[in-house]
Amino acid sequence: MSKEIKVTRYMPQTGEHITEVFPVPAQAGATVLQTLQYIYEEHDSSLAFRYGCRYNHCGLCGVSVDGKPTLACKKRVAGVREVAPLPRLPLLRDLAVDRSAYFRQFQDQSLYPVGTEPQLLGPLCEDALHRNLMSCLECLCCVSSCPEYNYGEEGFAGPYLFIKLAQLHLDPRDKADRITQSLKWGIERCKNCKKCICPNGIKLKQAIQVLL
Amino acid sequence: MVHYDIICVGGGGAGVMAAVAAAESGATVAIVCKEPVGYGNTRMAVGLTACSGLPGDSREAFIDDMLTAGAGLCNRDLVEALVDGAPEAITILESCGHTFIRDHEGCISEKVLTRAGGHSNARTLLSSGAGVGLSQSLRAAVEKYDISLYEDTLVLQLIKDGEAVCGIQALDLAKGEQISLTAGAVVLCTGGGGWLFYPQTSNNRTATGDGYALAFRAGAELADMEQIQALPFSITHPNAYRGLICGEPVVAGPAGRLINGKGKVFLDGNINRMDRAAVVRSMASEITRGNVAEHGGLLLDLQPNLGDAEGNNFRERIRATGIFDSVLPAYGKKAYAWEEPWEVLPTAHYFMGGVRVDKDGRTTVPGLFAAGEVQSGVHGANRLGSAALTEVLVFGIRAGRAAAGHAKQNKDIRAVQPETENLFGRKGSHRPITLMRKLQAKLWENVGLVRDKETLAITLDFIHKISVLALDVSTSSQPVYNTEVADAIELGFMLDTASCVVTSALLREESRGAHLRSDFPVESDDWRKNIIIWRKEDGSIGHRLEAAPHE
Repeated sequence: MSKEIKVTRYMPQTGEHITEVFPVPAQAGATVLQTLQYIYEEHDSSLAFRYGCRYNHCGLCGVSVDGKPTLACKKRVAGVREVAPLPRLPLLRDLAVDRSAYFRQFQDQSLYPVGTEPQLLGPLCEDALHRNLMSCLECLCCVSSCPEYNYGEEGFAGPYLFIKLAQLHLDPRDKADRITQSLKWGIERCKNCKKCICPNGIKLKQAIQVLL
Repeated sequence: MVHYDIICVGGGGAGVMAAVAAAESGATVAIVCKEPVGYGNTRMAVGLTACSGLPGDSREAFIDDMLTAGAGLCNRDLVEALVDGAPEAITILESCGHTFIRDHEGCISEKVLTRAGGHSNARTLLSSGAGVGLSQSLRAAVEKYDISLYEDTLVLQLIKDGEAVCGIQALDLAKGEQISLTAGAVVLCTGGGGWLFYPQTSNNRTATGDGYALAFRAGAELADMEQIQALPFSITHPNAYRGLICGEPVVAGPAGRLINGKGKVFLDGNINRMDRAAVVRSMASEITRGNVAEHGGLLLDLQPNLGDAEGNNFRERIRATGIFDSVLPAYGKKAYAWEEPWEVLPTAHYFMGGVRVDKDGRTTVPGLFAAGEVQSGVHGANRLGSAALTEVLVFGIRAGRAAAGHAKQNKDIRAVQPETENLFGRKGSHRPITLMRKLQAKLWENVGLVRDKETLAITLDFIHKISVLALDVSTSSQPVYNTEVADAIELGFMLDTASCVVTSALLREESRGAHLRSDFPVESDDWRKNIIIWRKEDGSIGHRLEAAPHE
């Protein structure tokens, strides 16, 4: 049993996206990631894509599957027609996101607790939402699904940064003003939107609400 | 060439902690890592971290547990350093945003501490967000301490000035350009080599043994490379998830049972009191006798734990760690609820052996330090659960500090720019990924669980044959993020690492800890020694045996 799958590849030299079709086995239980590995091993090892852990523990394999951002390791390939790079993000080549370029934008935002002295396992009441946000895989599917965000446009950070700021806002160890910080990065554009999605059900909307 | 006082190779827990400690000592620091920072196996960890100094525990008990598990191969100095360094490391990590789980009153108490397999006391902390939460704070640490980052950058070789290491040559995968950096000291924090056994490994794809090969090629000594821990429980099918972790002994609970393919219970209860090596030994004995289930594994039945509130709470607590997340997509909801047994196989998890270091990460080569899984000496022949994260944090900090001290004393660097070899658009006969997959399959088959002289000798020949083929590979000419070129380089690291592993496994004519020999099935007092190997001038492997220091 085999099927065909379309793979959209980003070409860094021209900035274009091209689409190729590959025959792949239609194996029961196979994931999109496994299918990309198959293409790489059997057809074309110039195909660039990222992965790390093979199941939902690293967040490296985010791709757009039939137009929806998701993790290639979690998504079953049955019924899938097309795999493409995550939209709205900086890309390296083919399906690979330039994650360094993305994170570099926030490297002076003090995304760590500010204003308290470290204490060995001191008292700490962790908010349930904070616990939920600590599981964020940083796969960037939320940013990729945000209709307001485009990499390179000024003034709006997109959901990932707001999740981090909400996490710090909820952290009793952090004394910085994360609400003003999030306003500077355009969080008011998130009001009444609620279109960002997380493949792992991280509570994005609640987190953004904490800052609004 | 751009210069830093310290270069940390690797961006997981050890690399970032080494960089933080060096930066705090006033050094200029860069992290060079082949994935974005905060990836590698630290990110995949369950987040269990052993801590010392907690109520009801003692320093001596912790040290004794590690020495006992290590079966005579631990370096006591290193074990003591781990135990004594844990509180500081944990404090630094939390100051960067990580959160170890507290009870409802916001305190660390027996309600939130776990007694992981092989530990005599409950001293293991749980992480909010598991390894992912921990790794989020690693990126934050890089920002906090103003550390320079070279991400998506694969180190090709260490640069030397005479006998001393003084820099690195690397490939920036994002651009396809080679770069050279000089340094007062280089700290290898490259993690382990579980990917040598893909797909039968719990590890991330980055664990290709780079640090062992880099250190070996630079003339450093390695120790006990045969000691590779298998985790007893991993997924057997479907192939997408094969080898992924679904448990360690503690998951079996007080009443979990292991059943062979013929329906016979061969371990019944108290699996959670056994260490990993003991469970794996018992499973290996069934597997080698062919008593296996449908997909070549054995059945782990956790249902006997259920039925009362205590049992159900236990399941929920273990589930919250995420350690058996993979069971849901692989085996379905009933299995995930422990109502059906899981088919399980041991999976390659952790290299106890590695680059030989003192308690401050100094290797036998001046200017070269190593910390984390890439180092040897801490765990001996068997690692206790939750001791690895402690190791990477503690020894990262120690090595970073010591490297900064070394760099201050060694300001005069005379590095020669290394020649650059063209890695792109090679027109050879073999695809790197094909050779890599052949090597991995053979290594699991022959070196994975149980070993013997004849098979190891055949494997060594096989490695040499693949090494010859690896000189004649094809690579695409794409400059940007060319993973085929990365595969070719990593294949080289894997081949060198595999040679070290198999050579050491041949030398150790006994079974000890994680090393099982069917032709020498018992532990022998004559072998209570570290196997130390190094690269000789002619490229062959030299070795000697030494009693473990201060054991």
